[in-house]
Amino acid sequence: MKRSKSPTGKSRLLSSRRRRFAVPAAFLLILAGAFAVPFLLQFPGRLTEPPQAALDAARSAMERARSAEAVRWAPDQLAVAEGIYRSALAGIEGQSNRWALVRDYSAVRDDLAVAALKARRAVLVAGSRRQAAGAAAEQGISRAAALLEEIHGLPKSSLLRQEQRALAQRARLSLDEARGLAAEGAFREARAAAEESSGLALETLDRLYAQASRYADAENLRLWLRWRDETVQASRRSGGAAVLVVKDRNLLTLLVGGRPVRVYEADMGTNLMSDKASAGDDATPEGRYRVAAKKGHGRTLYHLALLLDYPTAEDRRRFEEARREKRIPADAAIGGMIEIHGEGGRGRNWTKGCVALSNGDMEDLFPRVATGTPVTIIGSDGTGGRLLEFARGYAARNEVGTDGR
Amino acid sequence: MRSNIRITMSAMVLISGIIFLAVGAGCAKEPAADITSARDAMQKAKAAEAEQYASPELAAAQDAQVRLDAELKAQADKFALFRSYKQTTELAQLAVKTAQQAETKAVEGKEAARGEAETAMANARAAIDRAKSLLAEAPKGKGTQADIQAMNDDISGMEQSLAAITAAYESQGYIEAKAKAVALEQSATRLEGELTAAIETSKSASKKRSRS
Repeated sequence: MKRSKSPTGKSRLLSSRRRRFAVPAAFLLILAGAFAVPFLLQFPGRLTEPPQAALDAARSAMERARSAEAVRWAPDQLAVAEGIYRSALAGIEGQSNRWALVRDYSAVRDDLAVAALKARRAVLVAGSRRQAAGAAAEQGISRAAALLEEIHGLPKSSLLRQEQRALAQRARLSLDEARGLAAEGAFREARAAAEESSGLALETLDRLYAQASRYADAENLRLWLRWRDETVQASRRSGGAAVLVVKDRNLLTLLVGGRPVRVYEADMGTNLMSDKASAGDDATPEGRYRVAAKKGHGRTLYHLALLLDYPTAEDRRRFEEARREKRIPADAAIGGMIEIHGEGGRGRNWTKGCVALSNGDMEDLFPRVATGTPVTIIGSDGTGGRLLEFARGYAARNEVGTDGR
Repeated sequence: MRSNIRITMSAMVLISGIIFLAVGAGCAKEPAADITSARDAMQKAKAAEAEQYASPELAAAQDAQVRLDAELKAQADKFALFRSYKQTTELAQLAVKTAQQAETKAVEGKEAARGEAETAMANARAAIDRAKSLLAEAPKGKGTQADIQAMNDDISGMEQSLAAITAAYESQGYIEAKAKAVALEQSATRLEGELTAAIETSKSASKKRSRS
């Protein structure tokens, strides 16, 4: 049976109605779809959460690294950890904006894990560097303290020159600062302050050595020992008294018949480092003298006094030479009134160039010497003086000759 | 019939176009004010030296800023019609909040450091003044003249140090100023102790002399 080619009226009507509604329906479907797509893209994105556990672990590791002052002690390691962590944070935002079906947090998860590892590494590095810096700061502080101790070990009056005292004071100040900073955990700054302190202390010691080296100078020592020996021999020959003063050891020895009969502690001029060059330099002169006059009670402000014949012809010759060579001012005077007197025994060098004994010692010495008694004053006898030991120690440490070269 | 369909379709295309445009224009608006606020807040935190005084808080603010930047980039990469700035707004607000926290902490930390530096400087000043008063009382004579001169020099050196500390304080180097001032106070106190001991020794020596 063949189908009829022409549709019936009913079927044509149906077909026409379908066509009339099919087009708008299709359009509405497309429109609905167009609106649905953004929702489909957005809505599931809010349902799928990023790897929260990994994120929390990384965040916590970052916080620990920051608390461990990694920013200070391991900045490179922290920067790497932060870079990866922030890249992961950016990745989370990027992925959360993708359609759920194509969203992939695996790279973010990896980044977070690596960031946490790097942050933990930063904590370790910060810890070890902090410890190392603490040790280095302590070492620097110990060194500076030892150098300052060496300065303080010298006779107090050795630092009377203003620029040396100022240097030593700045060194002490920097050391105190270093200690304070170390106590607060600022080890790098503490070390820097300790190094500054060491630098200043070394400069002070250099300057002190420049002056004290004369105490260990072989030529000076030879001269002083010759003076000492000649004094002893003269006393032995005459059988009389002689006085030997060793500045560096703060000792006065009374010799009779060439033998030491009594040793007294003696205070010297505040400028212990130098030989007397001119009036007002507060140095005790070095040389061979004699008692020029004896001043009993009431004739001196210092209990009892033995006036020396300073300046001698040799002192005048050296004074003129120093003036010619402009080592002292042209209008400088040679000075005088150098005595061995009482009111001493203070345990420090305080006079203007005299030798001071305690009143009791002066009572003992005074009757044993007469006008004309030889008095020899030397810098060092080559044993035991603090300036001599300092100069020798410094020269040995710094590999310089005792003449300062 | 066909012309009716064409008219209907054209009308619908037109209407949907208008709707699309309206929706697109409405949804794709970047929260410019919030973003600017976040950037300004970060600048303020940095200007308040948060790096020095509130380092962890600044790091948290920087994290928030990174998230905000990533979100902005993600939205910018999308077709305009699909953009949504709700999350961007939230992140910008978080960035503002964390940066403000960093700024507040930095301001507080700096203020505390300033106060500590001021106290340390005042203590140092007081210790130097006490040493000066003691030095004025010290007995003067042949035996003490050189020592007094030396201590005077020490005090002058300390006053110079205090001037340098004041300069550090004025240039807002509070942590440095505090450390130096504490050290200076220790030095001045040490000198004060030396002076007190020297005066005591001198007094007892003069008593002995007057008795004998």
